[in-house]
Amino acid sequence: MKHEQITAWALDELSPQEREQIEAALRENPQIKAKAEETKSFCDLLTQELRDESLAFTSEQRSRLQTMPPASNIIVPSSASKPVRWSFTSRFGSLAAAAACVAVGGYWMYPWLKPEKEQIVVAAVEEEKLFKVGGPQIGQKAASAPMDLLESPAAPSFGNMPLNESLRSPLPGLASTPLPAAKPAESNVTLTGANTYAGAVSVNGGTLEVRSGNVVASKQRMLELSGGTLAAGKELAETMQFKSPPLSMPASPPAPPAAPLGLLAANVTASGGRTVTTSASSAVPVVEGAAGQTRAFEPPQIAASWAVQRDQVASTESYTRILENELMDVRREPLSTFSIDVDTASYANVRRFLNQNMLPPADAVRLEELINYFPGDEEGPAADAKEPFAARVELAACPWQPHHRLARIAIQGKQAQKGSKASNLVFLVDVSGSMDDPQKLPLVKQSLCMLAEQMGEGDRVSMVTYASGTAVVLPPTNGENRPQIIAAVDQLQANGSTNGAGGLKLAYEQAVAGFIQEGINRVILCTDGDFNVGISDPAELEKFIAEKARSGVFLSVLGFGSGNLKDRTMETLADKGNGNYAYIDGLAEARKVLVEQMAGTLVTIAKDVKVQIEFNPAQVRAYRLIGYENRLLAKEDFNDDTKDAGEIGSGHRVVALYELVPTNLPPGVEPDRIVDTLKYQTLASPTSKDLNEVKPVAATALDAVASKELMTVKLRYKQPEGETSAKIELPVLDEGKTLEAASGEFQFSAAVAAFGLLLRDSSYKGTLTWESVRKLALAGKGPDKLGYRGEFLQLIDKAAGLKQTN
Amino acid sequence: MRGEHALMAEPHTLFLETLQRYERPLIRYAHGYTGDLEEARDIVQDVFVKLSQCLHTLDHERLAPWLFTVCRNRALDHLRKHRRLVVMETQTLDLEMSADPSPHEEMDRAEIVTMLRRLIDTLPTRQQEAVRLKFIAGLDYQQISAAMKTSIGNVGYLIHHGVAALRTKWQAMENEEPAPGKARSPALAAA
Repeated sequence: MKHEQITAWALDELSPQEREQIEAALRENPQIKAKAEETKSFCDLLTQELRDESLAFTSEQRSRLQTMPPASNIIVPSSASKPVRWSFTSRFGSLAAAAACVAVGGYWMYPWLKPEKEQIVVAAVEEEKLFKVGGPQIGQKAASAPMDLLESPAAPSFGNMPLNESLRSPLPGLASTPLPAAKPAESNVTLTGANTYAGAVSVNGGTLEVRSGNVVASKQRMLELSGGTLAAGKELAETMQFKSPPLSMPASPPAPPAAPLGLLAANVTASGGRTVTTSASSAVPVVEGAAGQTRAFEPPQIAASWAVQRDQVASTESYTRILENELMDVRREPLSTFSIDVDTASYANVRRFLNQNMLPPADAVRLEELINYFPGDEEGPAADAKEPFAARVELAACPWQPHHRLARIAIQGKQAQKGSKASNLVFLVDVSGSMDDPQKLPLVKQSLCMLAEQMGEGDRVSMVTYASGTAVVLPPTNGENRPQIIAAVDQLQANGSTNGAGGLKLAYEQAVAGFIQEGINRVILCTDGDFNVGISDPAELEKFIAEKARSGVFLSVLGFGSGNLKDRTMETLADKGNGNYAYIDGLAEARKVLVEQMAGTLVTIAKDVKVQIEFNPAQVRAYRLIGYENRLLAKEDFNDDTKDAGEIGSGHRVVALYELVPTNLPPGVEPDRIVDTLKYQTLASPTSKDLNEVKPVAATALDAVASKELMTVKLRYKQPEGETSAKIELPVLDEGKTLEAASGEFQFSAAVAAFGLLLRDSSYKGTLTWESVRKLALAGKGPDKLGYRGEFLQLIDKAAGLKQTN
Repeated sequence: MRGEHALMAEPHTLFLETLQRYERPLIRYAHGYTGDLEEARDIVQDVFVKLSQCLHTLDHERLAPWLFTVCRNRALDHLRKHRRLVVMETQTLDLEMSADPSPHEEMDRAEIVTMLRRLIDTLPTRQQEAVRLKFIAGLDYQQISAAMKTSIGNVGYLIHHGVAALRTKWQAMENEEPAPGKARSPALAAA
């Protein structure tokens, strides 16, 4: 902190008291003072060099802005906003206004045309609704939301406005633009230099996308709208040239796709005020290179580089405090009990931080979620096995404490095909204003579409939104009817405050209404975390969602974006709501959770899965459960079927690691006593020599069982629709493996845990270094077909780098 | 519509004030991205037009963050479209930029600015953003925290690291190219 304060001092950003403090410190320490002075001079240099006061408007531009009439609330074609546009055109002398366009969501754009240009383009433009992951947005969404047509009802208020008329009339300075007959195949738009904005519109799969900007290429290509969801008509992708930002206009209602009116002719058809197509006289050329980005995926490099454009870092994010599990003395606490957890959100969240070159808060690093993020190669249960999962335990040396052992308990769920069960899904989408960010609502939409695409006949999908109010935006729809589902997803807009008091309730109602017996019934909540279900007290929220869970409907919580991530709330909901929680930091993750592991996300194969381990004090002196801090259960809870625990989805794998301190430690390595010897009781303390002789002790003491077993792992689980649990018991022996002899999966899990320990700066990190973590991860990497482990290696490097500079 | 006229008078004054106050910082800021003064002017015009349209929905106390965010989005979008052009033009236009120093000083100044700009471009995204808002746009920590939607503490952190990184790179550059007879910034004399 000190260093940052010096920079803040150099920039005169400190409060008077702080400044006093720093200056006092500087006076005392001439060395620091010298460095501070250096910092200050450099800051002065930066300020001086970079703050060039001469960059300004021309006086013409300035006076034009000053005399701009104030905008009215809703801009209609014949309204005063026109004059605004013209003043800009006169700057370029011969610019002429061109046709307006209507966008999905209803923005008009008034492109300008230089008379020598042949073509103008009219297209539907939706500035901000591009389906891009984190791409730079054209224009500012948040601010303009209220004033655009989001509020206005579909079309009616603006009447049937033939575009050409509105355009022709009041625009002064418009040369009588030659309106070329639409022969798009031949016409060529030549674009002039740097100062020409051009936009390209492409439509694909039902969305109209537009990008504005300078277009340098002059080649053109036709683009055709294909999109069952858009109203009939042809589509246009046309290039537009315009100098100024678009006006926002409401969508005009459908106009007959009839007579072409030349250029300016876009006849706009709007349906439902939301989805719009424009049909022009003919297809119009589009500038190459700007076109055709489909809803599908941004090339990864772009996504990566722009992915953090709008990131909002931990300002109001909240994480549950993690108090690390401590080393427990086996003789006092022979039982360790916890609920399994298949959430993976923490890993994706940590990845998000590291990709933004920031260290995540320690409380955001949940070791069990890091370890469980990675799909693995364990064998599932035998086909005829009674249990829906297979459990095995492996022991080897502990990487960070040479004399300790590490036990890895892996539970591998069976692969249940989704195809065999019908799904009844309710998408519950937070569409409050805060979702208005490329990393949020657009990504939500893409994710939901990915999921919808895997639905089929017999499945049921509905959608509920909540913002200022709640609404069912898609009633239960047959999964086969994908276009309709996708259309509903496309129409999602963010606005309004976050007051989803009825959101959850409504979603569950929908789910229950469409309940499929023996099927998958699930609410999928998509939010950035800032959702207010009307219950702020965590305990009450838990009760509320637990009650909802009793309806038999499961829950998946998908977190998006940053800055608002109420990690704590989301985890609680997932836990108590019989569900899972994943954090979607990008398309790749969306694909992982909703496509690759969809079966796991949707299909629960075992419910309320609990683990209890009894350690043998003759073999184990102490143990420490790594992670699962907020999953611990009381030992009585293990056999108590009314106590809720975690769910395992199809194909899921759950791993838990224990650090074990053996009873037989080499001389000289004995740890200090963890706890004082009891005064009123004596516990049996087996020595290394006489394991077979148990010393008689006071009746109340625990006898060390003369067994070579280290521990017994017990698991309880329920069938997804069951209420009674079944138990599995696994005794475990230590074969004395070294770390090198351990399996690749063991090594990798250990490496991930080690990574987490270093990242949180755990007091148990022992002899770990970033180097050793990397080596271990590499050793366990394996074929890594899906690339997740390779990505993890990169994260190690990032974290190492960040830790060093801090 | 009647009643709205009364409302409009006041926002208009606010608009003019905002225009006056933020014209130059915004243009500088946009210029920091585009390197082209014309582009920067266009972008900022757009911003102000948008401002006038949205004014009634915005928080009057917190216009700066909004302005710079809008500006940045437009600039980045613009940049995405023709990065190549920008790189070429930066060199020439930088020379036009300086006030009226002597030709020799002018060269130095332009060089320094270009260098600094390039270095800023190499910073990690968030640090870059904070540095631009602080040193180019001239916002204070409070405004930057609003614009970047993060805590002031985080802003301090980003700026500190950004400045530290810039300084290191700047010094590295200085050490590589001995500059005969050229006036260098006094900041490095002590380094």
